[in-house]
Amino acid sequence: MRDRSEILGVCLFLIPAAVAVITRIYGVVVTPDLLTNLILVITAPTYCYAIYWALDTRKALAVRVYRSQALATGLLALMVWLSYTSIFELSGSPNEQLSQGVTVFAFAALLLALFYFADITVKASRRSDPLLRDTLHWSKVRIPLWLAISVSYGILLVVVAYGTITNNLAILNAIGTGDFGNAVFNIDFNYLIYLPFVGVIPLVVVWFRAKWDRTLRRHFLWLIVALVMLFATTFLTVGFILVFLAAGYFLYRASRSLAPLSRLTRDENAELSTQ
Amino acid sequence: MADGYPDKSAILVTGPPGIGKEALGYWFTQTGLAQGDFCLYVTRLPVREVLQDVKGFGIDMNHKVPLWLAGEGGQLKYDVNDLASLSFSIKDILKKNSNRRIRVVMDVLSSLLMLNQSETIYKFLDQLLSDAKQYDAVVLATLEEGMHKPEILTAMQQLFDGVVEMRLYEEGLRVLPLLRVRKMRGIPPQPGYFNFILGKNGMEITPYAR
Repeated sequence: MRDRSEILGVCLFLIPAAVAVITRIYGVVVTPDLLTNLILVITAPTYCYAIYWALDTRKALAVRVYRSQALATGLLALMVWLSYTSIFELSGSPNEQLSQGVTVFAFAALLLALFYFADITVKASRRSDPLLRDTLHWSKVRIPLWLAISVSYGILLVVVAYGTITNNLAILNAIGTGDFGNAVFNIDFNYLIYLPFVGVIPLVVVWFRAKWDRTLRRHFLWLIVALVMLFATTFLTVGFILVFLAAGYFLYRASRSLAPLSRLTRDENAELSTQ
Repeated sequence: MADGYPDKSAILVTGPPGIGKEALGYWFTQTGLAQGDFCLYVTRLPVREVLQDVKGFGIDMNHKVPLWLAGEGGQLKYDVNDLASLSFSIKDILKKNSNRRIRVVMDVLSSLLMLNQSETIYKFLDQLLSDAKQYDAVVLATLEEGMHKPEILTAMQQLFDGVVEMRLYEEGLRVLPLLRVRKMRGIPPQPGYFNFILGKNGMEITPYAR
């Protein structure tokens, strides 16, 4: 703990976490409405801080692929927060169909952000690889994958947007059940929606290969912890806010570890102040 | 030299990936080509990727090109596993162009250090830099920060006449790219830091003060 930016990061995690724990200890009744509002208010600063660090690091970098990597990290943090909060905000909604539509939309946006992150990270890791290895032929595979995802998500988002805006119950029900009575839509909503997860495969390979790149490994480590926490939230009924907050904190750590950051020593600081 | 680097010198530029160390190499090459110097660019990247990067910094290398010793697409092929051949090729090129002013950019040191024993690379560099001096060449090499042990970075800095350090510094809630000349032959040590911005119009440098 050496710098006030790190102290702020920890505070943004600990203070809301303490509030969440205290409200629980003192038996504050957390109704679904109160819970969703708490999630919105309490976790926003932590996630904003993660996004801020990613974008600030991006601003300081000069090479395009690394700038994109920082942008993708910020985008991932933003999409995690937006999708989780929108899903929880609407989870108690009496309009079940609308809730389903928004959930699919939010989930799709999150997966797209994840795939963009994977794509850029694999490209960036190739550049730092001494042998310039093209992980799983990613430079060739990524193009058809992006095409397939674009078409699949294009159909998906048009259907969801149309169903939600027109409040078409038949479509909204089909989104919930995944049965449209049409092979193309059925395959799209039941299988192709998961296509962005393919991006995780080269990321795993990169993680094992990147022994030489301590910066990338540290960045991956924080990110994996954050993703595990986010995955854990799907099984939680108690302590959801705490784990979601912790995921936000680890996303912040991942943003900070995009590039090695140095600090001016006390002597250098004194010298610069007198200049 | 017009770029501010001493004659017959070897300069090392260190910094984290993405900070723009290569940009110094691009401008160094471009200025050399404009002056009619012979320029050799050694990189493990394919030439088309370097040219894409070069464009991003607003540099045009379409009319005057350096001699590329590159992983792909260059006049000469760079083989990361063949240190002896690399050393021989560079020495041969220096010899053939000994009647001209020579500039060499080496953007391969980090990969060489990762794939070989550090002592082997120190010896290779020591020999290469003394050859370059023999032919009045100026060498500019880049080295990644965050990928090598600190003792390797220190040892590498000892081999060069000048060391330019580019780093990302954390100041309050900001990330600042700062530059420092750690050492430069013939110039007294410069304690100050400099802000720098790499853009299409070149590199803007201003003294940094808190």
